[in-house]
Amino acid sequence: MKKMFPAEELARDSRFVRNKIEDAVFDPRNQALGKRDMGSAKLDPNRPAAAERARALMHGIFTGEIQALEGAGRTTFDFDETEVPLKLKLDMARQCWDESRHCEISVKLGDWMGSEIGEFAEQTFLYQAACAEDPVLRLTGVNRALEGLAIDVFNTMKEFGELSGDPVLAFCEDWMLADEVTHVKMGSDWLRRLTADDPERRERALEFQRTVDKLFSLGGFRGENEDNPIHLARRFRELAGFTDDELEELVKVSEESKAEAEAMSAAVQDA
Amino acid sequence: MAKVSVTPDPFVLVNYDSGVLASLIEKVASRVGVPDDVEIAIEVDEALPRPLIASYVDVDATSGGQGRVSIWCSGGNFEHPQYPRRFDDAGAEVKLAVDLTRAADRLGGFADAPPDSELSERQREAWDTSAAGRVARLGYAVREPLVRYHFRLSNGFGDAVDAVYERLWGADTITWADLDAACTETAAADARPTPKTRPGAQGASLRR
Repeated sequence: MKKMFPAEELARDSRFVRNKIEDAVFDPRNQALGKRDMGSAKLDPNRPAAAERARALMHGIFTGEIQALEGAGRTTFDFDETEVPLKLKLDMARQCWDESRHCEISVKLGDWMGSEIGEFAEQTFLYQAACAEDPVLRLTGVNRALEGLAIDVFNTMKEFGELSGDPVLAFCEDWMLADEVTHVKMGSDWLRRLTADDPERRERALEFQRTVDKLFSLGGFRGENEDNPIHLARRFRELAGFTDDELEELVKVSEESKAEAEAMSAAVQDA
Repeated sequence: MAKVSVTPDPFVLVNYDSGVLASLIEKVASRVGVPDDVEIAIEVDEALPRPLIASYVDVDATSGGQGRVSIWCSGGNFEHPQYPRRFDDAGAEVKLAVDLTRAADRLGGFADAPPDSELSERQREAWDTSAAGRVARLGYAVREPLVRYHFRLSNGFGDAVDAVYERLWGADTITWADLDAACTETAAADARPTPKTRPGAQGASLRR
């Protein structure tokens, strides 16, 4: 079996289509939309096109779960016991079990919302963030950054289910959210243990986390304003081991990401 | 065959062809029962991508008396979900079939219905459900679970609301009075603390 498996070779059947994040960033419609007052971007059942927004996000969660399963699975295999403790690999194996269950739940939620597997394009940058050669970078990039994002997304979807009176969505998201808090906590705990005597390695890992957090803020996708479809779930992140300073930094990263995406889009349109 | 006009022509932000869209509208209008001598004008806001899906279908009075169908919709209605900015032929056909069925309704037993901008989301989704059911029985590839989810999100989650859904989906003939009564029924059964009643919610902040 190949180690350090590339994203291009991930197995998908013919229902799935992949596209690149650049396609979204450089979409010529962005500039036209940016000039309009579109109101709050928060996922809310009282907003126009709420059903379609929720379906698209739910499908993104589904493909994210597949990639999270693949990423955690690779970490159980890519490193031997001289590189990571067996107990860490066992935690990753447990995470695989959780992610598999999340995939199944997401498929059923997709059915419930009238979606089809592969209906929307998939982007593989979540998995790509899970391919770092240093296992500690995977703990920060995947468990703390990406699973942290999952906390924010699931909490937003849970609130959407509660507000819309959808008992199935609210229930399922709540259960998946509980698992994600555990996954982030695993990342926080293992990071502390593995880098206890190596502050430079810890700093490199945290820098990688900041990079991934910025990437996954997706030009303002996540934040604490009405412009952000996904809101930061502060309480759940605290439970998962995030400090107040880290939460403040995350808000700042999101704002920077939004400003950079807007500048990039404007530059492309002007060119 | 209906006389169709498409705005914009050409499209510049998305890879749609005005001629292709006009031909599709002519074909679908004839199949869902829009009279041949009715003019159809469609304006597509091409800046609005998926998932920002909204549309308004109204009938304007004309000197000839038959009326003119006026459709405004976001470009996302016709966008391929897997390939940004690409026209989705199959999806567009179904979407147009539902919208044009509602246009045909307005030319018939729905003359007293308010304009789309004044419909509540509850009313709008109920009407879409009824139209989608009829369109499905004409042979269009309507995804019924998707219609059901939209209906539940706007009308409520529960057995009583589902029973209304089944009735609307299965009805071959319906009037505005029937549909309004169905919405009164779902509103009474809707246990949510803040039911969706905001008028024009289908696209109030999307339409310029």
